[in-house]
Amino acid sequence: MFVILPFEVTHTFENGTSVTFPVGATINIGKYPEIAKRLEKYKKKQVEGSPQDKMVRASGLKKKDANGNGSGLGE
Amino acid sequence: MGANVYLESVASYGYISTGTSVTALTQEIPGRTGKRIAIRAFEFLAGGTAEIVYFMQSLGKTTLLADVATTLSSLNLAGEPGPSGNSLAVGDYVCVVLDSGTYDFIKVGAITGLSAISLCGVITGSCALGQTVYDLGAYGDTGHIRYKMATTSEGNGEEMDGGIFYGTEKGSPMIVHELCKATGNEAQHFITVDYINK
Repeated sequence: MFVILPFEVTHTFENGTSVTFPVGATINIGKYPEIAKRLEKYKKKQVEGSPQDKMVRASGLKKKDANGNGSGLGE
Repeated sequence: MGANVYLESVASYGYISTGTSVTALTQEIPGRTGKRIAIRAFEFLAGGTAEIVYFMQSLGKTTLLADVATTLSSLNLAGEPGPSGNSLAVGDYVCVVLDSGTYDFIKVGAITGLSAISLCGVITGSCALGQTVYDLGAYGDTGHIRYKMATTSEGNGEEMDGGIFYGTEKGSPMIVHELCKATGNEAQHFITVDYINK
């Protein structure tokens, strides 16, 4: 599958050779299963947000915005 | 994914080079309008000395602000082709798309402003204003794919149907650059390229 990487990553092959893909590189993820796993984790984290974000969501309260409105959680 | 998913036709293009010891080897891979470069297979040899092969991608692009006639050696650019923090600099590679559709790869020799980019060589064909100029930067720039070879005499290669990795966008060119740091590193190089329509 054809993906554009959102982070830099280095893959090391068994013979010691390694390849480093920069941010924005377009790669065939089928060749690099461990990068695919890392990408899945990255996507999940992007959806769920940080631990603070999760706590704020679970509390039902609102995180303070730039104007100081909200409960103050997650500051 | 099957190999033919994004291939309009099965037609691979191969490059084979034998370099000179301790002289960098540079293979230019022209882009194609509406197609993206897919590196399908490659093999290099590190004859006992580890080194890096750089797959230099387009870091940015701009257009010509004025026509350039054949054999001229300076460009007038409409804008900065480099990304933020990595402006076009002396020694960078640029690739000018000629009116004929040919991709002309040349190094930058001097810069006195975007309207006066002096090249290390001459343009080999005419190109009208509005033609695309790609900035491939220098091999060590951020944004290029780096393939670090182990010290093995058996070669360092990869292959995958459908391509291993790809150019930054349709039409953009690529340069493969190897320093050939030691005797034995200059032999046995091949790259197989497909052009895909995704």
